[in-house]
Amino acid sequence: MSSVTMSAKHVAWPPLHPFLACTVATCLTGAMLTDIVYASTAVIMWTDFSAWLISAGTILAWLFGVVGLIEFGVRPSIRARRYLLPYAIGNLVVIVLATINMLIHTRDAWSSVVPTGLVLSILTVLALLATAGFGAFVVSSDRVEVIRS
Amino acid sequence: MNRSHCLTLAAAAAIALSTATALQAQDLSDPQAQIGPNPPLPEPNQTLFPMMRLAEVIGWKNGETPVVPEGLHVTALATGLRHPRSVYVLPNGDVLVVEARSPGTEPVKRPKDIVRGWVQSRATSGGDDGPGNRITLLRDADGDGKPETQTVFLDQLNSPFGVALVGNDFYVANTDAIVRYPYTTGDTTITAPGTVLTPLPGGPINHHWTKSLVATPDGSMLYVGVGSNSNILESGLQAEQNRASILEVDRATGRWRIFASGLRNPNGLSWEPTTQALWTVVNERDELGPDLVPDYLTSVKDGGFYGWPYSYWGRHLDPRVKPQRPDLVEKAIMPDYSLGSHVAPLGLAFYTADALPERYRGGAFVGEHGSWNRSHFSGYKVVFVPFANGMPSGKAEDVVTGFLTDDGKAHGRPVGLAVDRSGALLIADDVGNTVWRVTGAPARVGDAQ
Repeated sequence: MSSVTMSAKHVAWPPLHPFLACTVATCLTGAMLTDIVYASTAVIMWTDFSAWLISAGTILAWLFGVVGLIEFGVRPSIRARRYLLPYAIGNLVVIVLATINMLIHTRDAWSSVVPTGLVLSILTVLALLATAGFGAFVVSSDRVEVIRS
Repeated sequence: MNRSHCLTLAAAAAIALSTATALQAQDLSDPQAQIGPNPPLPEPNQTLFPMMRLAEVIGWKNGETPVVPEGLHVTALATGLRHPRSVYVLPNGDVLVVEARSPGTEPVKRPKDIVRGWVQSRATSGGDDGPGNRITLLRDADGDGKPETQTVFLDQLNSPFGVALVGNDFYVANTDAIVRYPYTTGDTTITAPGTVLTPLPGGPINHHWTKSLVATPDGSMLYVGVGSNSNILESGLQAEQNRASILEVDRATGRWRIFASGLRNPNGLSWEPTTQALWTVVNERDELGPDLVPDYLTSVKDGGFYGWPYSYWGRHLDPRVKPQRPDLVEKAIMPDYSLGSHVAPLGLAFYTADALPERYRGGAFVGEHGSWNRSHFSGYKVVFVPFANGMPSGKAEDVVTGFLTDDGKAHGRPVGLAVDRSGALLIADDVGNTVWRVTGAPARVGDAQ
């Protein structure tokens, strides 16, 4: 009896784009740490680490954003999830902050980090944390969806 | 929903971009205002995008030449060279052309280096391909400005720049050592192996690699310019040992000491004719805005400190340097004469001959390689700075121009200068692969225009 109803549903893939977010978060959090170390030691090597981490994190963040937008477009079930709007806005904030911070970090030596770069690195990580909270709902809500004809 | 996200993203990107554009600094309306002993210095302005504008190199077509004012005349002494960086005149009138390319040992340390390398490779021919690193001898025995012979004087050098002859000793300042060769008047080529007089700070990195060289009039000492290993310490302080300075080298023993320091990239070492003081042109730091920091022409005092990296133009602190050194900044010497920001002076020649018009006698010619760090080009010309009583005495004036086209492409870029036996000014044009010769005589019928 119920087998007819079940055949019209299946377990959906979770959203795919958050997998990219792991690397983005790792790079940008790492950059905050290397920025903090540079600001407290003035050892120039840490600015090189920050520059690479932020550049990699920013490029991946843009990729993440594009993949996320495509996924929203082609998967109506994901668009229906809770907290999607704050999640999207949070990620947008991360991408904008990281992009500006990448440019700040192209400067040479001290002013590539202190004060603007360091502040942006910390704000980026805070935005990442907030967004991750909303992301939990987007990723883990009900994954049973109706197959469309 | 989806569409609104797209719009939000697009709007945010547009805002970010327009903010960045608004943060681009504006150039001073009149770059001439910065020329002279007390240039106006705007506040440092570190933009989001480091300004990069390089002139695409198009070379010189047959018959094309730079432009000189009335009363002067310019012709090509030699063409088809391999990235000529400096010129030197031997006592018998032979002209040496040092053809050098960058050692290419600078590693990619940051993402920025990749982007900058890509932009520069599109815009300039840095002489990085093909053979080079040699010295060519031009002999123009009859002095008509057309050399009869052209021979390879020395080959297989290591990014040479400065050369000097003392008696029978010919010195080449390679990027990593001063090397001595035996020379006899009239030689057109040297086959003897060289002897290292002293190593110089070279690799690793070797950011500013040109080593300018001059001998004291009595021949006892050599002075060599050693540029910094970074723009502003971004490779760390340990990479800067004995760099950004002029070294005094004992010619007999090779022993050396730092004669003056804090000179970011000193080139064109020359003796001022009335005071016999050592003068140099210096390339100052980049990425503080289009009108900072002025490159300069200055006398060099024994033991003098000229600011780099801690301060510029005297005691103006550079915001990018930590930890600071107030003890050094305290004694930073203000340079004598600003040539303008980012003009990149690499050549200097005092004029003591009498073939050019009277007004040029006793003053200095400066070869300005040209800017990359501002939106309006500056430099890309040879200027003349009048001197009186051993000091600059007026505004610099353009002497050889026309290296840039109206639409911002480069035929060539002037580098090293020298005055030949007849009193003509010689200009090494590296990307134009030419040595230009400026004479006072009007064009004679039959001369190439």
